[in-house]
Amino acid sequence: MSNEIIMKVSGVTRAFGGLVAVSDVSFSLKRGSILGLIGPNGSGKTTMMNLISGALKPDSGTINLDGTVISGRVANEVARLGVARTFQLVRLIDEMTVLENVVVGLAFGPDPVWGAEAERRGRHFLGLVGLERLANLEASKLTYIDQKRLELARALALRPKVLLLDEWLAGLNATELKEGISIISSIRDLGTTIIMVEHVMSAIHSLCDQCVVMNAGRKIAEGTPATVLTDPVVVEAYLGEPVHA
Amino acid sequence: MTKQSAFPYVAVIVATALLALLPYVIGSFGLSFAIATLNFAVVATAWGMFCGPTRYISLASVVFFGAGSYTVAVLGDYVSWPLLLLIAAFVGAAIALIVGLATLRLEGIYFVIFTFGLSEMIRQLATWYEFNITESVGRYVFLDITQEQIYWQLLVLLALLLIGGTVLARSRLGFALRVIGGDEMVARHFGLNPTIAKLCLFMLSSMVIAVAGAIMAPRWTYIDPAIAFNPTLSFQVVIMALLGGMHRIYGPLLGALLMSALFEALGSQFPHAFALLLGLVFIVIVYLLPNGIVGRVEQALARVRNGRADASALVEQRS
Amino acid sequence: MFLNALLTGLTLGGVYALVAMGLTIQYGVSRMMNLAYGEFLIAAAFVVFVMFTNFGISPYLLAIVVVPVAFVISWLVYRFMLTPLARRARSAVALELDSLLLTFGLLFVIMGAMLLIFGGNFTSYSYLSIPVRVFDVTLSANRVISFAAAVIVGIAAYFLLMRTRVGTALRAVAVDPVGAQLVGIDTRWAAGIAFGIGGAIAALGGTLVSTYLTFTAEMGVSFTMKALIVVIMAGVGHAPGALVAGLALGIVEAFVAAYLDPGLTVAVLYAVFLATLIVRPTGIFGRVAR
Repeated sequence: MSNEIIMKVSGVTRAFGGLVAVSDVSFSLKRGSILGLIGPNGSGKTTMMNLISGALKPDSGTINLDGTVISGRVANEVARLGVARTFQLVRLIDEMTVLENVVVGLAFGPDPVWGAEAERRGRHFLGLVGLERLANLEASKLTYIDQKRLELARALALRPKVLLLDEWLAGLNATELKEGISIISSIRDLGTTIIMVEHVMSAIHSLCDQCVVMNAGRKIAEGTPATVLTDPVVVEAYLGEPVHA
Repeated sequence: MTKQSAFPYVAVIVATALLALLPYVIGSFGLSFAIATLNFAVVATAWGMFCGPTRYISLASVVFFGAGSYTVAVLGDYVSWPLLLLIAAFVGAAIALIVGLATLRLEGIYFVIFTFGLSEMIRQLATWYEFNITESVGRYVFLDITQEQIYWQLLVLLALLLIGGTVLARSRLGFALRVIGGDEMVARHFGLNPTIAKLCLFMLSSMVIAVAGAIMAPRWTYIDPAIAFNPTLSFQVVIMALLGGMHRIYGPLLGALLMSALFEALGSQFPHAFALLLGLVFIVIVYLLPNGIVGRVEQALARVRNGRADASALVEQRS
Repeated sequence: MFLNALLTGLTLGGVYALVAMGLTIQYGVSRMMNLAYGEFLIAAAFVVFVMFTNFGISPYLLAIVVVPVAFVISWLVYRFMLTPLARRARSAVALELDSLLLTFGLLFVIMGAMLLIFGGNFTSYSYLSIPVRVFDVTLSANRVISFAAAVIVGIAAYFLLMRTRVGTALRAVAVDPVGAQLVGIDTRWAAGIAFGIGGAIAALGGTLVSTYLTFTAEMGVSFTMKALIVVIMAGVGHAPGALVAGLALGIVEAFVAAYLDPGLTVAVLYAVFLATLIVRPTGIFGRVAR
């Protein structure tokens, strides 16, 4: 992990009618690091992800990727500028095979490939997540964990500068969680920068270099997992007010 | 993506070559029916090429068809035939561009509602134009085109459509359309602009329908807006595509072959109850054949395949 | 001429407003597109025509029977024709599509039946076409009454939606079907009621319109198209918006007919529709996109 900043979020705000989902949030992302975006439910984390990926436009503030402004652009532009994501509720093309789903990440990105070359590279990415044997299976027939792996392979196929993982480790049992953590770790070792929205604290501890904590739309803490998770402000946000003896 | 066999192309070319000989063996009534069927096949297949993958239901096929016919009616005396077809295609594309730019970036329901009244609007507009600007409603088409020539042109158009559709389905653009039809949000997040893809496809589909309208124009010696923009055609096209199955390129073709005979029978036996019977047939199709005949057949085949797989797994278990 | 156009536009717009409101209630609550909506209107017109010309019963009295009957028939259509689709739909979009196709077929069934029974001829009858002077303009009484009735029913429907328990339940389902279920509202029941109300309003519109308009069995499509456009331009599910937009449409149509050309009314409507789709597709009063 270098000290070079790859993404800068500055004063981003987004409201929906009367509800301010994200309020004046700023943070920086270092190249090659994993940043954990955490906070209680409804704190605005997924909205923040949507603002980065281009699914939403901020009302104010900017998001900068490697010197280029990505906030306010449409999602397909942001994707081609180097941001890929997984979705909180898995979104695969059910009627396509596993391999075809990965090719979605290869065929329309900044360096598109098609045909035999796309198939070859697709299998490579399937290998990274352990799905090579299932390449010709219809996506609708996959187990939940395999669906998640496929989403990840598809996102990696875009060869993004920044990978957004939206609660990717949710719903996994202990074994699957261990595997999942090791997969993400190996992706980071390949040099990809990652932002993960997560609730699984053990993963946050073992994977994240930095954490940003959000509550009710605002950033309430920033720092290493150890620092942030013992911060009384953060504890209060998650658990409510401490009982005064 | 992996299956790139040449079978579909060979099949289409062979079938076209064989069918080209048809005019020599059937009588003039048979030829007339064949032309009507081919026309339905072309329009339904072109319709299905756009509406199948995108699930944007167009209820305005007749707008493009009629525009093509009207192009011939208006310019037929001044311009050579091939140029007429080209202009008809261009007119179809232009209308599709306007409609598409307004509605294709929105959800499908806007597109449907827009196309629902479009034929009525165009008919009114064309009538007004003829009444006030050219001061004669209705035109005569006297062109030296034989029934055989109409048949062959439609046959070639259908062949090109089927071949083109297969090429498209196997291409990267066809893949893009499958992604867009499957999940637009995914499409956007992986570099696709769904609106442009939909627009291109819609324009292509509309151009073909307009050309079909132009080819068919010489069959009517007299055309006026009410004839050219009769909404019944739009409805028939939807029934055919639905019956055959919208999700495969040959589905609408199948539907056209089946329904053409039915339309002919109903139209001659029960002319007054035509709309009513058509509506009933349509409702039955929506309930019983949501994916068309092709969909039912594929379902049955899948069940057989799974049955065999289960059976062989059972055998393996026991041995 | 200006006043004439304005008043004609208002009386026409009154019916459009009413009819659009019925459709927006149907579509907003049930989330199912009903392309056969206008057929209910024309069917009611024909029923009234038959009853009036054969038995001499006043159309306004007939409305007392026709409207509840239409409510029941609409409800039955929803309950037996549309709910099976809801059961098998895999997504909201698929359901919208299926219901659209089904009601498209229903449109042809109803229109076809009317064509079979009455033929394609222009039909009209004369009732209360007594001239009445309003603001220095001569209108026929039937148009004025039609407008008054539309206003009264419109206001009544508005209060039904805003002030009663049933109305609030309907609005809740229109805004958030899942949330509504969580607070104990049966969405199927609500959709059925909404469908019934929509059909009843369409039938009322048909009854009123039949007193002064010359109609044919094929005119249902025209009413459906206009109702749909008004609903979209106002914003789906926004009943008061539909009223306002419907009135506006009536006025625009009357002015185009008076000052431009009667043959251009639909074209102008479509031009306005096109502009709305480009500038503000969720509708003038609609909620901003998520």
